[in-house]
Formats: sequence, structure tokens, C-alpha cells
Amino acid sequence: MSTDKEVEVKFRVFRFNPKTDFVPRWQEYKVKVNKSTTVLDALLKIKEEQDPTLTIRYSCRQAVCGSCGMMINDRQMLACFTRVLELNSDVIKVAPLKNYRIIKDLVTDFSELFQKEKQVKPYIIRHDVEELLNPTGTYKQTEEELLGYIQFADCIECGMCSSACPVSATDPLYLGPMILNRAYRFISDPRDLGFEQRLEAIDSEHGCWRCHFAASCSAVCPKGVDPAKAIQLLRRALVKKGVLGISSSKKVELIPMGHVKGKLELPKGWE
Amino acid sequence: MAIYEENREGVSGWFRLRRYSVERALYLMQRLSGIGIVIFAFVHLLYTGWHPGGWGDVILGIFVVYHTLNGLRLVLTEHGFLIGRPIRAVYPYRKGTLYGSQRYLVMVILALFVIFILIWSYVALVIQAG
Amino acid sequence: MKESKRMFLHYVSGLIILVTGFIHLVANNLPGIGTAIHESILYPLNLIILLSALLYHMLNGVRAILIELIPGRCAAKAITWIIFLVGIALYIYGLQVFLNLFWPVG
Repeated sequence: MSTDKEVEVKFRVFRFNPKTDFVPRWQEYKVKVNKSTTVLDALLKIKEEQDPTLTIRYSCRQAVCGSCGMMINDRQMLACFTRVLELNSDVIKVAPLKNYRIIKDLVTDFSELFQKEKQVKPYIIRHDVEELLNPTGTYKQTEEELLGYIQFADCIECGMCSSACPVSATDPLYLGPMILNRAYRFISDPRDLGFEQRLEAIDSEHGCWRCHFAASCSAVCPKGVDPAKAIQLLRRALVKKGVLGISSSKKVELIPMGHVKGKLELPKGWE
Repeated sequence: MAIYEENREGVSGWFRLRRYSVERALYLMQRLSGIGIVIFAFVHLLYTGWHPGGWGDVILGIFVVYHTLNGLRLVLTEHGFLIGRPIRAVYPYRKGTLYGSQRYLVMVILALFVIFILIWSYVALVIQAG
Repeated sequence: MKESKRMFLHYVSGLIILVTGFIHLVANNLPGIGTAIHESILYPLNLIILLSALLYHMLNGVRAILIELIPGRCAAKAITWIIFLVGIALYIYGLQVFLNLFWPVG
């Protein structure tokens, strides 16, 4: 087919093994791509045909698992979600995500990130133990309540927002957009009662007040989650609670709800 | 080497603006102008009434006016105003912090910045110089 | 004090600086209305409010930058205390400057 015309593109790939190498090096490969080839496909092709020592991490190949986030032409992108020819560039520069420890080549270590995530208790906290042990029914939510947090629940934990954040660039203890977004997702859930328990981590010196609204997290997010919005709304809730003195049990006053136009807001093309 | 293994950008990360949204540049300028004002304020307090004069006054004016206008924008956005309500994320994503009223506010403060700086430069360079 | 209260005061002091700093600028630069403000009895009060708000806003900003640059939970506490002491010293110095300016001795 004429649409599958193959073009040769040069890849500059970051190579570094911390166990053996002193300094990283850039290695160049030439790959033939067509218009549907993603960066991940091209990297796998390099691994199969040219250099089996290249290390990459990937799983689902369809922007659901969040394993293959990397710096493609100096910007955080999912390798499986970026087509090579859409980048409009002769040389594709591929490097591991910034601000994470490198395991090898393009693979970064998220264990520090997930350790930090435990501080904000990323699960629903309830006090009605009897109901939890012997459930009598379901917890009901309105459409507005669901829309209040569903955007932030879409996070796939690819860690690209925390990598793009200029504050994480200097402060390794800063919780980062991904974790603050996670915290807000559970705080804004009407079923959750654990606002107070998360305050220690969120309201600390390295918590949500270190965000300065550079909005790079929202700019790189591949799933439309908008972590910057979550952090600002989190701060709004903290100010309302700490300064205006609204109790955390009155969730309706602390958390803005989504609004439903008409009966039920369906996305375009879903009708 | 540990420094390559850590792969942390450090302060150079603040200056990597090219592939991100304009808010990142605004944040960097807010920080740099803040540092500039702190240095001026220290000297101003130690030697009462001192100010740089001439083009120095213009640069100081740029710092102060920018820091004030962008600061007003941050007071609004960092308390959850003008960034849109939570919505369902549907492709193509239009994130509330990067589109709509927040972006218009950025344009408004940049326009006001240019106007105020022109007025202030006229005052500092023409009227005060006599 | 929790971080949220510290940072809320940061925004509030910023807005106070906007008002008092504008009065300070007008008083020192405009001949007609400026001199009237300058000779008013409330002008020293304006300067004291400006000094308090400016020192708070400025040193809290420096503290935020330093916390982001120097990692470590103990470091954050130490920075906060050092900045607090520096702020007290500068505030006393500034008040003394105003005393000499408006109520000179002898």
C-alpha cells in the first residue's frame, strides 16, 4: 500500500549500565518506520534486529500500564503512544525519565516513588468496621460525586508528571504531582473518611505547598488527568479547612463537585 | 557514577522550558524576579532610600510589576479558581489548567505587564531624568 | 504552625504589600498627593505594615527556595528556624531605621 511507505529514521538512544559504566553514552541506530510505527515498536525492532543488549520496560503497548514512559526528544512521553513520524524530526532522541534512578538504559526505578505514595494512604479509609466485615449493601454515589474525582482516578502511574515537575528536579523528598493527585483522588471520593490521616504527609514542608503551578505535569500527562488541577483543589480544601475552619466531615463544602449538564453528560460520540 | 545513576536535573531543570507549557516559563520568571526583589529590598533597607536609578529602575520595575501581576494570577489559580471543575477526561483532552479561563488570565497579565512597563519606563527614563 | 497556614500568610502578605507598597511608591514619587501622604501621621504605620509583610513574604519565599534546594526533613526544620531568626533580626533593625527616620533622637 502507498500509505505504508517506509522512511529511515535515526535513533539516538541513551545507553548506561550503572554497574559497569562510568558515564552514559549515546548510541545511534537507523530504523525503517512507516506511519503506524510507534517509538516502542522501533525500539523493539532495534532490540530484535540490531542490538539485543538494549534494555526497555513495557507491558501493554496501548497506554494503559504506564511502564514505557521515557524522554522522547527531551519531553516525557509514553513510547507506545507516540508515533515516530508524528514527531516530525529526523533524529529521535530517546532517554530514560529524568529525576528517577536509572536501573539500566531506558529503565528507571520507581520504588522510591511508591514508597512516598504509601505516606498518603492511597486507599479508601472507612470507620464503619462492622459494615466492612459484613456488608449489607453498596455505597451509593450520585453522578456529580463521581464526576468530582473520576478524572483523577484515570491516573496510570506512569510517573511522567513527577519527572516533568521542576520542583522534583531539585527536591527528591517532594511528594510530586502523581502522589498528590493520588491523595486528592481519595480525599475527594465521597466514600472516603481519611482526610485527617493524610494531612501529615500532604501538609508537610515537602507536601502540596511546594507546587508552584508550573503546570508541566498536566502538559505531559497522557491520560488527561490534569494533576495540576488536583493539587490546586487539594490546597483549596486545605485552606478551607485550616484557615476558614470548615470541618473535614463536611466534604461537600471542601471538595468541588463535577457538574452534570442535563441528565447525564455523555462524551461526544457516545450517544 | 552515582550522579549519572540518580539522573536528577537540579537547578538546570528550572530552565528547560522549550517543550512544556508557558506556565513553566512564568514560574521561572516569578522565581528569578523574586530573588532580584529580595536583593534590592535588602540593600534598600540597609541604605534607606537607595534605588538603582535610570535603567536600573526600569529593570527593578520589570521585576516588581511582573512579580505582582503573576502573583495575583497565582493567588487565584492556586486556590482553585479559574482552573475549571473536575470533569470526565475524554480524548482529545482539554485540561482545565492549560486551556480556557486560566490561559486567558495569562494573556491578560502579560498584556497588563507590557502596558505597565511602558508607562514605568517612561516615568523612570524621561520624567525622572528631567 | 502548619505549612498550609504559613503559605496562606504568604498570599495574604503579598496582597498587603500590593496596597502598602503602592502607597509607599506614590508617597515618595508624586509631588502633590505624595507629599500629603508623606506628612500624614498614618504614613509611619503604613511603612511598618509594609516592612512586616515584605519581610514575611520575602523570607518565606527564600525559605521555600532553600527547602526545595536542600533535601532532608531535618534540613527543612533547620532552614525554617534560621530564616525565622534572621527575620526577627531584620525586623528589629527595620524598626530602628524607622525610629531614626520619623522620631530622630536629639
